[in-house]
Amino acid sequence: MIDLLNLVNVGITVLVPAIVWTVLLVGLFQLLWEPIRNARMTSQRVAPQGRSR
Amino acid sequence: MSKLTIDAHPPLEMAERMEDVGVSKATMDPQSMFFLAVLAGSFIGLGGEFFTLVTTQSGLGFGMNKLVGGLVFSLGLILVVVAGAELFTGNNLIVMAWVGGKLTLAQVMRNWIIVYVGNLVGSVATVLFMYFTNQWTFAEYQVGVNALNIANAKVNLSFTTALTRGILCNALVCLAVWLTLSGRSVADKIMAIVFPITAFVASGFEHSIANMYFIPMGLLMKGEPQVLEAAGVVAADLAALNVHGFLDNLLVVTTGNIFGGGFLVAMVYWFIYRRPQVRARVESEQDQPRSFVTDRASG
Repeated sequence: MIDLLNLVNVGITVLVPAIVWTVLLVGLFQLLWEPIRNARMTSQRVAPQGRSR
Repeated sequence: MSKLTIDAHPPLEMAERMEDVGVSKATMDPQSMFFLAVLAGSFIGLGGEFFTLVTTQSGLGFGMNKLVGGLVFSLGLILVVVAGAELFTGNNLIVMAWVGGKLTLAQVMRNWIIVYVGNLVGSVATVLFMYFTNQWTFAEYQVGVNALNIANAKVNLSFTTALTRGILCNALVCLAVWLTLSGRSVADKIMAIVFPITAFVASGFEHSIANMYFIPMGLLMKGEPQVLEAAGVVAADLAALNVHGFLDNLLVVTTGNIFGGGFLVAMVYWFIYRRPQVRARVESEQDQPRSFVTDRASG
């Protein structure tokens, strides 16, 4: 019984922060990456127009 | 002519509404989002202030004191929901719109970061206002002593205790917000809020935004010699009550809050009510082009 409680305790204290912080870090990465990706896409769209002139 | 109804919205409709609300919250302009978050921080701070005042020397037994404290703290979420404001813990329900594919994780993060910072600004501003009201001197500094004890208890929680209390707290807060989606009137919404919020406060669960009021208030009380004298404590008893202890508590409690609200409520309800609908829609969309091709071929 005590072993089971210890296992649950470890599960909660390790798994919960791991899941939450993984999601937060992925979200943060996407949030920071989005403007960079948009800027790249815009520059790629503008570049061929510049050449055609 | 539309039919007048007083029936509560069924959970399936509530889930659909929550996704739509999540989208409108996450796509709001940052300035409005921030100022609404500052308001929510102050509203929760006012709930915290009301709680501190009422539970000071109430003369009630342990359970009744907790019950009354919980009831008055409900003011915070009632103001947030009815008056309209952006509360980080309630906004953990936006996860429903993300898992439903209506928002990106980046949009959810943008909302959470702006709202969290706004909530902190609003809570700390309320602490400063309350400090200058000298309310903490009431009842021969006992209001200040109560604020000090509340904050000191919070910063001395173990990691597991703070985390599990955070999880259960926001499960109840998000259930309160979820229940308000079933209501049609202000009275419905208030009734929906009172019991889950009273339950979380009376149970001593940990709310990250409420702690942005309680712990800074305790920090200010720690600097008041009259309060320390009335509390009968020395500096060593309050060793953990400092900015580091505050940030430690916030980190763990916020993690628990996100899990309790975002995973245990939002994801679970999405899985139960929205996933079958989304699957059915995807399957019908997959079927349609095939029948179109077949029709053209046969025609």
